[in-house]
Amino acid sequence: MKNAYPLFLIYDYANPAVGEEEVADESSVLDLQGEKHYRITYFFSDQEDLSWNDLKLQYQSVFMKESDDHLGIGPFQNISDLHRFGLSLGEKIGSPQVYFHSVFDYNQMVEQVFDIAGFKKSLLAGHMIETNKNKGTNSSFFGRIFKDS
Amino acid sequence: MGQLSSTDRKCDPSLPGENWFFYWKTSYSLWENKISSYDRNVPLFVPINWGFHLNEEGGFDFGEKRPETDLKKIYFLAKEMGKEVCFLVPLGPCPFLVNGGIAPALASSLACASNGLVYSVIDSDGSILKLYSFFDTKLYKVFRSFVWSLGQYLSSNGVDADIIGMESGYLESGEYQDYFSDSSRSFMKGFSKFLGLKIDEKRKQFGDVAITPDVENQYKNQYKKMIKDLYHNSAKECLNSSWVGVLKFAFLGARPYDIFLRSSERKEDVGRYFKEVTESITLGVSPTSVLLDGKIKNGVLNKAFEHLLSKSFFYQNLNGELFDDFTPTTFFPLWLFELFRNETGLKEGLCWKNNGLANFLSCSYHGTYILKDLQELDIDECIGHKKIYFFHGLGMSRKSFEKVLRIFLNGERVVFDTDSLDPSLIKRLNAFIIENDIDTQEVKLISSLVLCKLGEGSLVYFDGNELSNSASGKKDAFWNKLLNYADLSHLKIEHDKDINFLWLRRSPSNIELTYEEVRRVSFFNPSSYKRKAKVVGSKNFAFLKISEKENASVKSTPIGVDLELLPGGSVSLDFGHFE
Repeated sequence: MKNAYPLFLIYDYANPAVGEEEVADESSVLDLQGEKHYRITYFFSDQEDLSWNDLKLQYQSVFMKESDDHLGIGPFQNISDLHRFGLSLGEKIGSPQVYFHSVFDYNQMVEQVFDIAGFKKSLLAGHMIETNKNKGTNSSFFGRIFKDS
Repeated sequence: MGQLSSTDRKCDPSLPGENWFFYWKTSYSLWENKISSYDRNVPLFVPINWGFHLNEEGGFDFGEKRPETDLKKIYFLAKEMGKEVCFLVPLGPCPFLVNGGIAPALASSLACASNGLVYSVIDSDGSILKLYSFFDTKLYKVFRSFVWSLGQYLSSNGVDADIIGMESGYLESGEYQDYFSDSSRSFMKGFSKFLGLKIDEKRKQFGDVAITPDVENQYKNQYKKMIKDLYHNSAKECLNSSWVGVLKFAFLGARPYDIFLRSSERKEDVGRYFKEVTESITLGVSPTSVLLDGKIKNGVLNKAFEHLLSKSFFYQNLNGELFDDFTPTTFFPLWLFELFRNETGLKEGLCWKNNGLANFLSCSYHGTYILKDLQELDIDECIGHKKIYFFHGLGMSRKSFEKVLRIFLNGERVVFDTDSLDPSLIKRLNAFIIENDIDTQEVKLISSLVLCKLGEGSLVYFDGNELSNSASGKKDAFWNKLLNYADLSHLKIEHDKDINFLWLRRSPSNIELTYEEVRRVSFFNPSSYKRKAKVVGSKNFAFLKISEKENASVKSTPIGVDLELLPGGSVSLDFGHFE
């Protein structure tokens, strides 16, 4: 797949025992037991045909096992695994960069923006990894692609 | 004052689409101009921006301080012009209002979808609006106070407009998601206490209690319903004299991740919005384009709304509570099938997806079925409409089961998937067949069908468990064969990709008495390409007329009607249906 657009991945913590998410300052409904892990709850790329199934297949390819998180793609034991996955997916679909946002950060970000330009700018402020596809590319190329509205 | 041109009106934020009027988005002095420019034969929907009416002292302003809050003025202006107004009272977060309609001082906890992402939408002028949770107890008190004040204000000023409770949501994979149902901090806090009480109750009765995820989900649904009912009942109680019911609205372009799609470089897919419009019909919700950009909604999508969103459409979605001044030739949505579902904590209509019926009807009888709640089953509404009623055994109570049998006895056509039906009710069904000496015939398809006939009524029942495990092709073949037994008359449509169509029906006029009814099919081409479609002729239908043709050509042939639609083209065809 060829693509000139960044890939955005939104991730969260999850407790597989109860299928619940833990938010930074929230009081839990039940005592959380079991191992927590990361999962991807949402992705976005301007590439139209990227699907959840593509992410599942990529997860299997990277970790040699099936994604079994019923609320997203995962589990990822740590943030490095998550980044590793994001990078491999970004390279596979030809995205120049992969941006990571936690659900918590994303929600905080959305609360602060009021228009499309602000939203786009904030999306680009997430943790970013450049893929091999982009190394050596003039950064102004990216700037032209993802221009403000 | 001059009239607004239709172009001006279509880009006007105070008239954002269909029959809506956003009074707070324009100056009070321009209201008369705006209302006079509204020319549709559907009541003007005026949603009440209740946060806008909150004043600094914590009370509510209805024109005492700010003329833009003077709701009675809207009513009387419209009345003078011979136009009807309906006020919509939000019963949850509204995606077209700042903070979802909540005053800033009360907006504390962001409303979130089940994946944790905050509900945020892009409105028609590119602003991003965030929704806040209605599970905050402080908020409920203010809401209650507001609806009481509103009721007093309207009745003391002689405002006789109908009032509709407004639920706001969006469509996702063929299901309606309500913004009220959120996973916010406020919700979790309140639910935590609710669950604690339930666990204590259970412990007193049964000792130690294990709460599985399924059980917890059921409690969550109970809690959500309890709080939602508080808002509904408060509004209904305080606005009782004018209250006509609740309408669910599905906002196009307002899914949680539409914020990504609509802010990206991707061209907006108008075809997707058409799909949502058809899904809205199926789910008995009212679609609205008020959040979409003018360029998107002013094209062929606008035509689809003009066809569909009539008084009769809202009448049907309000279960007949509103707008009863119809002529015999008023068009209504064509619903040949009613599929009943039981809310057991599962997704809506999942049973009909599992056994393949929903998919089959979407393809072969596009836009002609509706999903309804079993709890709302009213036998009287099922008499004489010549529809086919589908029921599923999952979660069915004895009371509902008896209603199903009564519908059959009343001469209607019933299809019953008995998968997961309580064994005692299966016994009851067998006993019922014997007691009433009903003629039965067994047919083996994937499942064994039992066909029962009693007078005009027919009942077909089968265990759909085996069907649910079959390939989709086999499911389609099964339903196709089953519906052949139902002796159903409908016109087949063959069409290119991108073509969308909607069905309506009406009673015959005085000069059309040879027909049982008249069916109208309206075609739309939202793509940038010329597209074709064909209505395949049938012996029970006569082609009557073409109407509202734009950028389209129609040719009647011995085997049907051929259509060609240019980009943005649309056309409606009427067919008389006779037995």
